[in-house]
Amino acid sequence: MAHDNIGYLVAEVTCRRMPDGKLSDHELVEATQKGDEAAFAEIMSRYRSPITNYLYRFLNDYEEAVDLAQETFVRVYFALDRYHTQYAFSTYIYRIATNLAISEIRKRKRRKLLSLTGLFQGEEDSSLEFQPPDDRALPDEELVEDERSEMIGRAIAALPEKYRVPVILRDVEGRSYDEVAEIMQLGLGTTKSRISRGRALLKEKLQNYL
Amino acid sequence: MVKEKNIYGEPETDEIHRLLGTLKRVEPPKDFDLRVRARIAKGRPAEERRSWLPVSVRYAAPLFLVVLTVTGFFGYRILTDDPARDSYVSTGPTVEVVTPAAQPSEIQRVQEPANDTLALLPSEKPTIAPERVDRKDAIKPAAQEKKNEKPGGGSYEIAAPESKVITPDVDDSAPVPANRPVLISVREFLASSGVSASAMSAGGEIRSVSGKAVAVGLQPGDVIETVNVQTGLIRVKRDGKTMSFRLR
Repeated sequence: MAHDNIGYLVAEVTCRRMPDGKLSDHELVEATQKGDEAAFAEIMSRYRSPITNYLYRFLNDYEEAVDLAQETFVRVYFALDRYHTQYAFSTYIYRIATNLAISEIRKRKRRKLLSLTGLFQGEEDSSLEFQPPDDRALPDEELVEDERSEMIGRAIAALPEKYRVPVILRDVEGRSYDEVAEIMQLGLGTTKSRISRGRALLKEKLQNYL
Repeated sequence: MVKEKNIYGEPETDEIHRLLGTLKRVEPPKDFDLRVRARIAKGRPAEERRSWLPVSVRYAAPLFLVVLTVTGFFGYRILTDDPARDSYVSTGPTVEVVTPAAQPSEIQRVQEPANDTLALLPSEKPTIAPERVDRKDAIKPAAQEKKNEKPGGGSYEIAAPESKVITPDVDDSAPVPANRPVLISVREFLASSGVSASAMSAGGEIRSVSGKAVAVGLQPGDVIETVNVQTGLIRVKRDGKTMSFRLR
């Protein structure tokens, strides 16, 4: 395979280390810019999980979320030469992921408009996906938990984009208000206001789970 | 979870904040890194490829073409839109003129006026206003005729007999100035001469003739080329030949 030639798995991280032994994001980016593939592997290991989780909560579709998370890293890799270190790398990568997710949502809307089969599907059916039968005997608690998680996921995915992004970043991903504001390129007050409004909308839908 | 103050400056204690914080986290598949590497090895994503044209050129060029097309279209129309064109008598060296009383053997050969601006000289203001003929009449004579057949469709021929005659409250005995212009359109001129055509203008085919038109020799099927209401000359094409007739 092509990536075998890269040999990033055996490459050494060539930049200096922080006192705790870990490299900062900026140092990893600089090392990647110099051709250190192991540094990029480290970036991926740090962010693949949060980015995948973030996109999953945004799209409520695991396969799509994984696909877009991979696309996010590809874009980051090819755009590293344009990256400025005065901004936090996490802000940068979340912004790319957010833009991709918003594009995907818009594509879905267009597809839904064009789809003739959509005329025959109900509102509830549109978000359902095929799930193979699970033969395991699940305890009731787990069933309830799964249902609760499913309902919360749907409620989040039903939020308007401008509320969904900050609510997920703040309440699911645990990003600070400042960071959310930077990712969304909005003022702090506007960001807090949107989060508050998004939570209020969710509260209306999730009364049974509060 | 970072403890921060919310919009009201209070510590984060929102129920939704706590509820969403308890959601299970999904993990990427184990071959995630390999797939990313494979995509990177394939090259830059298609969306990332930039056009070699600057943004301004990419948008300006089509816009310029649109403006050019629109300007050209209207400019051409303005330049070619001559209101008096349809009432001209074309300059021709010699044409056949059949007078009302003439027999076929008495066809005269006369010289038509060489001046195309016959009705436009200020010193010789025409007593009959030239009618501006809409080009639609010439292009779509059948459609125009159909339109005229609609009751209440604005056709003068249909509306005139049904309209109420209003007599102006003026003194009819007052002398009319001798040089008062008599306004008559090509349509009225032809109709009064007994010509019924698919379009009362250049390009119209004569459908029926009566009265004076029969006398001068006009025939159904003749295609009107030019009409001069001032001189009463009508030029038609019959079997590929151009012929002129004087209707007054």
